[in-house]
Amino acid sequence: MPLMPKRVKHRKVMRGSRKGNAQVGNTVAFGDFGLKVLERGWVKATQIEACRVAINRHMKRKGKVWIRIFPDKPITQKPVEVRMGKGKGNPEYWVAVVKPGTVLFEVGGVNDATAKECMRLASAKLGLRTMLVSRSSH
Amino acid sequence: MAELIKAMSRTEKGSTACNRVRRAGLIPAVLNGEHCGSLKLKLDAHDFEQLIKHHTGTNIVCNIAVDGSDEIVALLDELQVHTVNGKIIHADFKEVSVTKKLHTQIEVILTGDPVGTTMDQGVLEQTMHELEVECLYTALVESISVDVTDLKVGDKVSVEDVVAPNGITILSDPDLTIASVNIPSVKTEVEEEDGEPELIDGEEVAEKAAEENE
Repeated sequence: MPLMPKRVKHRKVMRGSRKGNAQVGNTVAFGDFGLKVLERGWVKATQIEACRVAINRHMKRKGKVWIRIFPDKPITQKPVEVRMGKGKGNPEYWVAVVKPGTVLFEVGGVNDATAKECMRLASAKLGLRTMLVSRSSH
Repeated sequence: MAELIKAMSRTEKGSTACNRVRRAGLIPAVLNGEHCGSLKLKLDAHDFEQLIKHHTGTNIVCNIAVDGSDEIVALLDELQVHTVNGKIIHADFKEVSVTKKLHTQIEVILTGDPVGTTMDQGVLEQTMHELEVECLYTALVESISVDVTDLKVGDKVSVEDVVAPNGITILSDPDLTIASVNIPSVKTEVEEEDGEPELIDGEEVAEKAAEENE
């Protein structure tokens, strides 16, 4: 089940701005290794779920995974073959807005090789350039 | 052993001036202290990055020679790095005294493989990565090693179990847990309906009313 908010204030929101770099959530805070994104964009809830599954499968129930982003932005789409106008479309999926520098996932309690492979697998599920970061890197 | 840093003083301040300094291959820095006051400095970026690279912890004591004058003993207080490329963009130094104790944090490094992870299915989880300490700068160490080899599933290492090196007083709460070995919890995935989230303040009702009016 992909992540989504339980309660929202507004069903539909505007596209919003995503300028600048990540000012928060840009360091490895919980685990030993993290996956840092180098581009700005939207990460779908289904992509986050795919990454989580890929990481957990490779870790084989060892270690711990932290998901540092949450898809709290609803994205609407108009149905196919519908003329323009008649109001905004229906909410179809949820995304997390990420800026360059955001740490998406963290892993801990596993060795370096496993952590690196986990992050490589997770990176393949995303459409954004990423970088492996560790706690020790300044 | 304290590292020697050759620094140049700078007069210009502000983000634009600092960016100009960075473009020239230097790193803007400041040195604060009782005797020296507040000094604005610039350091050679390459030399400083090499110095940082060769240290595992963040507690680096340096001898700073400003414009070739007498050396000032200082502790690297804060290091600012670029969010994306990881380059050092600013350094904060704090002057230290031979007689006055300083309050800082020391990194905790876990050594050994716990029995709970090698023999059982436990997972080692480190919840505390730094210890608050008080010491003279001469007694300062880069990191404190904690042996976790004997930890079984359900065991933990607390701050009180840490043996402080000579001259260092640990200020962190002794009851705080540094690391523990736990069995990973197996989450049973509950299939939820792929419905819409609940609205706060009943906005939906207002929307429907507006649609009906149209």
